Amino acid sequence: MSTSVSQTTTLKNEVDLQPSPIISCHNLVKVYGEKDNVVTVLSNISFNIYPGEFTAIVGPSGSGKTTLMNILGALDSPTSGSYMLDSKIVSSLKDDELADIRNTKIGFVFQSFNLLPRTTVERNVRLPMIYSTNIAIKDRKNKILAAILAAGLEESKLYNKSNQLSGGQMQRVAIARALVNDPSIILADEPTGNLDQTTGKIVIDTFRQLNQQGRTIILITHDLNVAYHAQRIIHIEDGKIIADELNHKNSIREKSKNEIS
Amino acid sequence: MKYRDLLNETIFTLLVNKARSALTILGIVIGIAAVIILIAVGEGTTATVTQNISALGSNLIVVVPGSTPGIVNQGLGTAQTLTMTDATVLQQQLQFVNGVSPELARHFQITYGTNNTNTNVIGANPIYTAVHNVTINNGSFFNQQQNNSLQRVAVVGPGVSQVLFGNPYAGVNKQIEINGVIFSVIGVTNIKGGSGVANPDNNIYIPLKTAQQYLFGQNQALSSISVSAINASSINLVEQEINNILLATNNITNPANADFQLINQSSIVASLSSTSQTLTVLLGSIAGISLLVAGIGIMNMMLTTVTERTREIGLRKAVGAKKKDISSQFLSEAVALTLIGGIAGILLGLIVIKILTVTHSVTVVTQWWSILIAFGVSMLIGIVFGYYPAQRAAKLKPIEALKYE
Repeated sequence: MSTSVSQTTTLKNEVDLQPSPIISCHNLVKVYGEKDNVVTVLSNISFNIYPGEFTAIVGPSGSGKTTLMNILGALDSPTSGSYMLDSKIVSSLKDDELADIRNTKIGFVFQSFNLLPRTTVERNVRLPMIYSTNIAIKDRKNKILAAILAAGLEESKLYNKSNQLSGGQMQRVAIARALVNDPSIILADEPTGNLDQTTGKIVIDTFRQLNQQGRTIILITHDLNVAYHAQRIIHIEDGKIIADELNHKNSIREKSKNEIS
Repeated sequence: MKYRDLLNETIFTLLVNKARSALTILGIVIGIAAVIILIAVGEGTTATVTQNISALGSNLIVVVPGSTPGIVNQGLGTAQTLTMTDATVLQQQLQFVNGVSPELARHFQITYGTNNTNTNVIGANPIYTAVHNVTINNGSFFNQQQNNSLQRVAVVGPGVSQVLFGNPYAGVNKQIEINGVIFSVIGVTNIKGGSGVANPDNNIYIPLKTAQQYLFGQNQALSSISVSAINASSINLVEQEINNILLATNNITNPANADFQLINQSSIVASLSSTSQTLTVLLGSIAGISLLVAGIGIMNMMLTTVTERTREIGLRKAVGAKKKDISSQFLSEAVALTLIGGIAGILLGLIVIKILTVTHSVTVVTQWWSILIAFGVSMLIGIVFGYYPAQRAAKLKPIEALKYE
């Protein structure tokens, strides 16, 4: 892993030329428990993510990646350190302000899809909009349609019930739901974990396409095979970043793809 | 969250769980319907009691013999102190009255062929009909001439007629025996309604003088003197006059030693209707308890729902729902349930009341205020019993809720 340090430096030099980061974490610490029973889940995590990046956060179970995702997703607050999302300091916000951040700036994709049961695709995708204050009711239909097309679903599925869909379709409904409020980042937590390999690949391809359209995507996974689809991989173990590298495999594939086309 | 979205989400969620929503609503429906029906029945009973008492005669004051408590207490109406003279003096001196009716009353054995009954026989003057609002259905009441000539004629109530002749309005020109003395039936009265021993439909009326001659004995003191005031507002004045006249006639100087008592019909109505008001309150309270139980049912269902929908709550929070959004959604679900239940309960209550009215099984008086109260209470139940589950839902932490299995 000695090479990864130099790669990180290279990356930092590269990104210094870019505009301001969309995510900026500085010395994030998360501690659970009290007094004698303290468990440090995250210690001094610092990194930046820039607009348009496709980043994978990889680590074995218990590494702290889920806790990191909860903080990045404004579902949890760090014990100390600062977290800036889209030039807003999130780490010090109250519950309702965090809810606003989740609504406008973050699109979640979960391992278990978390769709409303016995509910149409349309109603599932609409859900984030009913909690939004800045989307007019008349614009909703178009946004829903745009989101499901972007997520790779056909328009004809709009009024299918969620339990009539296949796993891959369900996850794409979830992706459409994540897209509908036009968030700053898409945060995907083991999005292929409940899918077979073929369907998983289709879902990952959907993320790549979204990334190519300029979306910032953060993929949390324990599976390096999945992580290798990202441009950048942050390795995390025991609550620390042990490597932050550009994904050459991915770059090579991109290159070869470009050469073919 | 916009109200439109809140309403939309609420209706959608209730429809997704149709069966459970319907069962929860059922409790409220029954509770609300019970409140409305039982209050209507209670009020109906009050109305019936008042009506029955009024049927005894309007603005009636009854003078009964009796004395204030002394060493030996006599039962009301058993003393032998009321005389024909008293009645005559009252007749001559009272103003503001429609009539003064001296009466003898006692139970006798009545026979017609093989049928017999034991009922109240009243000896009275023809004025009795005016004082007591008695109307004749078939035949006629006796007149003064029949009274003076001691004719053995009788007018029977429909209850007696039913027992003796098998038909409530038959019996005219039939011969009956009262305590072994033969009387001809010359009329049957209309149904007045009432119950128990005081039911006027079970009376037999005979001329006063005939009664003294053949059944009660010549020197028998009167059972009562009924006086009918010209209107309700003169009742107190007439009572005062009766008091003064009778004290003077009987040379009683101290009113505390009066050997008679006055019973005012409106005071009977007041005491009986207060009894049946208590009944209304009692019935209403029992129904109210069922409404309370239904409310607890709502809370129970909402709490189950919160647990069942923990992941959904987590998801809603993850996509941006604030505490207030979650609590208002659950609260509005509870209120919607009670509101629908309340409306259905009111309709059910009104239908049952209509059926009771049409079939005449129970007298009911629909109280519009009870419907308003029932409606308000059902809303309140939704808010009160929906509040706690809604707060529980709103307080869930999104991370834990999303992890919930």
